[in-house]
Amino acid sequence: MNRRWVDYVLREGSEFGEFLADPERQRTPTLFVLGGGFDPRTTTALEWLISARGGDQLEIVRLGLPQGMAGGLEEAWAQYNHQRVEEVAVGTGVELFDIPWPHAADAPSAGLMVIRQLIEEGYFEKVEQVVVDISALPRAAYFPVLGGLLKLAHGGSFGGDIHAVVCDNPAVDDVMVYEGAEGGAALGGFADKLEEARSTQDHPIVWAPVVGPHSLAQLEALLDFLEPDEICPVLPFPAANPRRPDDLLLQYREFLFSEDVHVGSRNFIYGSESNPFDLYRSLGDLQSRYRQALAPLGPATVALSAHSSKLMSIGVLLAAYEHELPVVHVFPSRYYIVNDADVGALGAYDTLTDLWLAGEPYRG
Amino acid sequence: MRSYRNPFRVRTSEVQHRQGSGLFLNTYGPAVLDLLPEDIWDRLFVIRSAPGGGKTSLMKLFEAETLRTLHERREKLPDLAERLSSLGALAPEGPAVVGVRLDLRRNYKSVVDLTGHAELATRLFLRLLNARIVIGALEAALMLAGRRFPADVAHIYVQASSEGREALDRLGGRSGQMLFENARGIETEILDLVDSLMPVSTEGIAGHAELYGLHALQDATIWVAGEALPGDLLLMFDDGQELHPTQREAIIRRLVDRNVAGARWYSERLQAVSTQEVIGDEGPLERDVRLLQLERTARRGVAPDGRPGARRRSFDPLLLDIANRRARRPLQIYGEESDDFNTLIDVDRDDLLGARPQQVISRLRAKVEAASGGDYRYARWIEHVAGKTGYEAALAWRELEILIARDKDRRQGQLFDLQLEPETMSERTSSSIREAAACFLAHEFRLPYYAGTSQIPKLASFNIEQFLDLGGSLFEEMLALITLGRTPWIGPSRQDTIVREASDRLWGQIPERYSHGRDIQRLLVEIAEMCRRETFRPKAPYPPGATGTAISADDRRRLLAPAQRAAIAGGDQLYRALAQAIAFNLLEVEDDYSVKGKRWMVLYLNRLLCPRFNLPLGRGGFRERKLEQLARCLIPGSNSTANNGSESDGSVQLQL
Repeated sequence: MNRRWVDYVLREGSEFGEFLADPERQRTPTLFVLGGGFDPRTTTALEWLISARGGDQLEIVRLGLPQGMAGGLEEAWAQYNHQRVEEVAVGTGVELFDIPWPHAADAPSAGLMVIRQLIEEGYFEKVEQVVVDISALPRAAYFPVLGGLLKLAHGGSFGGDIHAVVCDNPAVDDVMVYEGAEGGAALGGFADKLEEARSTQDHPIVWAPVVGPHSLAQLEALLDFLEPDEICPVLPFPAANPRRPDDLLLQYREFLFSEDVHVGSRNFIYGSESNPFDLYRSLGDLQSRYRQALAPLGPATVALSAHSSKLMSIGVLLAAYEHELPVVHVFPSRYYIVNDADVGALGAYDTLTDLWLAGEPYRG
Repeated sequence: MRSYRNPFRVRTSEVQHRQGSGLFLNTYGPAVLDLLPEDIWDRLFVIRSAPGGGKTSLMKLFEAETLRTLHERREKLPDLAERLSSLGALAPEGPAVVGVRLDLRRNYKSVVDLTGHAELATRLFLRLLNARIVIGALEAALMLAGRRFPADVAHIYVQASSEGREALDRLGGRSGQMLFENARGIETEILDLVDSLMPVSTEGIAGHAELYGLHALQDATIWVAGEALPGDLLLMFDDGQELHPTQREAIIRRLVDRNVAGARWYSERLQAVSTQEVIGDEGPLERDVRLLQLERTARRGVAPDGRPGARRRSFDPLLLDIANRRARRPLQIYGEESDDFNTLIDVDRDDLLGARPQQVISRLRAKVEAASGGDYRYARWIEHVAGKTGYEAALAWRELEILIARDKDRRQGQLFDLQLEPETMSERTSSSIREAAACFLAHEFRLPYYAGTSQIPKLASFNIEQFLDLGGSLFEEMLALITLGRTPWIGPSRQDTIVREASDRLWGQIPERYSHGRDIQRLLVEIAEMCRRETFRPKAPYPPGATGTAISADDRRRLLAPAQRAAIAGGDQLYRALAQAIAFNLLEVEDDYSVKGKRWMVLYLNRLLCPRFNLPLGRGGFRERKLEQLARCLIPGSNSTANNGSESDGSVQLQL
């Protein structure tokens, strides 16, 4: 199979806006999609982009997110972010559309309802470029939104460019924690025949969790949900901190080497922490290897899950999208800022990355 | 180095999934079946528990594959075979039921989001469920016939009863192949819609009005390659908490129907039950339903073989039996150890005093003598206790200290001061006071307390998974001792340490694992701190100690009424946190408790949380709280009574 993202476009740090703010593209009708929650990184990419290219030919869609705890730091940050986006929009004459978080019976449906609404209401019809800022969006939202956009692009219904941007900040990730891990499910739009495979139980299931910190309860919930036959944990390497894979192994040693999981030393695979396209390649190789090897036992299902940084999770999304792999996830009941941390002070560690996923560089 | 397996760390479902049902059967404690009520075959049987209570394992036991394996090994597992035979699930010639377990976690709830029409959503749900009933029944039939699924579905022919014929036609006809293809088609059609990233339309998609799978197959004869399968269908719907409330209502309503003749079981975690029901205990169940609430039934004790009227015995031996079954073979193989797990955690009470028994006893005696102040009233009591040795002596001295504190309180204002004879000691004490004394003794001298076969099973809080987790930690220690070439017996100090670590682990996992986890922790701290204050009073007013709180029936009604709840600061948070804590067994409920003419809902701390707060494990002691007091601790930034350590608030003290 020809892989779509063998040659890719990724710009990070000082090169972040090389394409997004390119003078030639400043008149390209652009839709900027961002989250409306309390994450302090909510407006970082938007403000950078507007300062670099101005608000001409720009529209913003703000996806409302479930509210955090009333009266806490989360509420204060959510109000600040809300106000800041409005100030930016009003100050530059940019039109701002709010899409509230849908009332879904099942958590995985919410993101699907959002992308279906965006398509049905024609948000992508008048623009030639869509930028999805995943920094302040949960996986339950940006996986279906980006997945739907890629489907439109590859199905010929959207001819423009698709970018995913992320403001990565491990220090902020460390103080934003989730609450509740009561059950696993496939992410909306990424079930990919998982349930059909489980209906006939003789088809092997291989699970490749991309491991990140503070996710033990999620890993345990997904193990319970998937009951996989084989587990191949993915560790971030190369990483900014070269000891990161070791630290993660130590943190999860009891889980990874328990009787239930029993990961063999050859099962570990690695993906670059800063380059999701590298992870995309590794996961592509993994799925093809397992599917071939297990073919005599029936069609194997390789399920993925992303417990890592949002940047790495894009690698999971691309691999799942291209190879039609299910992505499983535990939907937390809410997120919060731990111990009233001074998240504002952590902004100095923000790194912006632009991932160009569809459009001009990939044509012909 | 040799690598060892810890049999406690292998979850039941995992055992069966990966290693077949043989190992599952080897580790299954047959006494669990004593929890089953009568009349489970002719009406809806509902099983409820917190996670890890053993619902899924119980259902797996009745699955076709498990019963078939058990039949093949019935000589090796005579207890289990006998119990299942007496229940009617196993006949001399093989399985007597075609057990099908349907996992309700699998994408049903998403169907509700496909359409804004509730009725259509329910019909689509029933259609998907019917498809999976068919797939499950075909798989079970082939399993019992020793054939492969799905390769051999074409060998199946279903002969429905006259009542079930129409339903069978709706499901695809009589041939196994047609039924299978139709079911797979339905599954793919609905799941593709559910998971579509593009806008979807449900126009023109048909649903089902009834559980046709149940109607078609309940009285049917299933033929596999020309042979009729013996036994009726048993449909087991597992993990109903994952359904949407409308789906849950739809399925229960159809399963309750007494016109349905077949056996049907339904299980759910307590979290499925609405918050109103969890706190208010107002289930929608009708009289034609058999309900088994696993933890509650276990708490009441087990009737051997389910005999009505039989004397109930404690759940603890059942847990120890499970541990012995899991540990027996690994201990034999790894350590050539012939002792059971039980024996290896059994402790001699004298060992509880550690390396300085005389020092402990001397200090206790000195404290009692100081408390008596040389009063001749207690001279005979002291003389009586002075004759004891070892742990018995230490316990008796601490018990005496409590009795003297109590006596001093009650004799205030008495005119005559009579010397107390040793016999009066036994009149004034009780096993609860002795247990309180043991707890005080351990707490004051930092001695091991959470150790031994009498304490370890209590820490399970009647939850099998919780017990296995703790058993796993103890077994790891045994493996370490085996590696060092030592006898894998674990002394009381080490057991106590392992238990306290497990307690801290449970505590630390609460925010990450449970919705409203931080609120749950605040609530538990409030309760635990109050329990500590009440437990460690000199007179031990709540022997063996307070380990819970209680809400009056009036307060419970106020909590359940939205308008009244909204008027209480922190009321909504309390409502949610309480429901979650109960659903996940972090708080154990005893409903409708009667004390001093009032009705109470008693909320005991999960026993594994007690070590974190140095609380005893015995039940019975609690102190009531007003709703406002409990809710206050959940308001961000508030200083609850627990946090500021304030003493009595003038509320009524409850003594059981």
